[in-house]
Amino acid sequence: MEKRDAGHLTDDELFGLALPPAGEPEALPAHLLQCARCGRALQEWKSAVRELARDEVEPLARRSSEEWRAAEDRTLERIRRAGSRRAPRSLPWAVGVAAALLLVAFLLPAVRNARERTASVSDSAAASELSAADAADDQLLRDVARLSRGDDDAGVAGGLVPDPSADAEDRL
Amino acid sequence: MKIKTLAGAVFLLAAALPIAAQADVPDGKWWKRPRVAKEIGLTEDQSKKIEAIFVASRPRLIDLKADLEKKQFALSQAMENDAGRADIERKLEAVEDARKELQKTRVLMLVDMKGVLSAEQWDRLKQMREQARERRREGKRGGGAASHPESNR
Repeated sequence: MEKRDAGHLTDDELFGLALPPAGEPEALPAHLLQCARCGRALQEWKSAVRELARDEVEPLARRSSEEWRAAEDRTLERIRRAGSRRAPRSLPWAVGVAAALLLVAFLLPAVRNARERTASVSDSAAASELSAADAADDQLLRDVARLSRGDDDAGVAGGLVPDPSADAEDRL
Repeated sequence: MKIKTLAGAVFLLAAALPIAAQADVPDGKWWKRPRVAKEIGLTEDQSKKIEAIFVASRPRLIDLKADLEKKQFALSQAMENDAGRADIERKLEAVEDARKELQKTRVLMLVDMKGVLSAEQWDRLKQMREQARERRREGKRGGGAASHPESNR
């Protein structure tokens, strides 16, 4: 923890104000109303936090490892720039933020797998919603829809023409 | 002459578009799925009427599906055996004719089903189909296997 410099807010305090703990109201110190320097510093911290929170969960889930590393580098650079304009004291926070990003990057594959498992369980549950007779009719209707749309594998070309939408290993 | 042909093609396309849109509802026996029924507010009476429409269409759907599959098999065999171009062309046309008949029967069945539902119910059903398709696309992009996603709704 760094000490206050001439009554200005420390990086810890600024970070706490920029990202208050969940459920706690943001109580602004009276000093902020009088000090333009601390006001600017707080805005910089808030914009750095907003940058991190800009992406929604779904786009985040689609990021590749390379994109995560690039986002991490950009965040570190932004925090370094913001810190170097005042003091080099924000590095511990930069390390913390980078660690959080890395943690998310490592956790995402597990989250994805869990989601896929859930989808698979839902499919089984959906199938069991129907009686045996209804399930047979359901399959008939699905086959009819697939065939009449021309989505079937045999298709017009009798399955002899490679499907451009097929996986890479299926291509000629 | 060319203009007449083009106008005819445009007319046919315009006529076919609403038919294609009619068929854009969840696949399978959606009216028997509690979640779909709840989502669109399907009543017991509506469910029974839709089931009756399906039961009336089922024998023809079975026949036409089998006919299409047989013709697809014949085409596949002809291509594998290097049959002549004319023979393959005939078989290809037979496949497409069979597919057209199947599509027509399916769409007419859906039109009858649509008549049982209110406009809001039908729109909601189509929305569900679109959402399921979107989830499938998302699943493919994310590398997940989202089989029959509309069955979840």
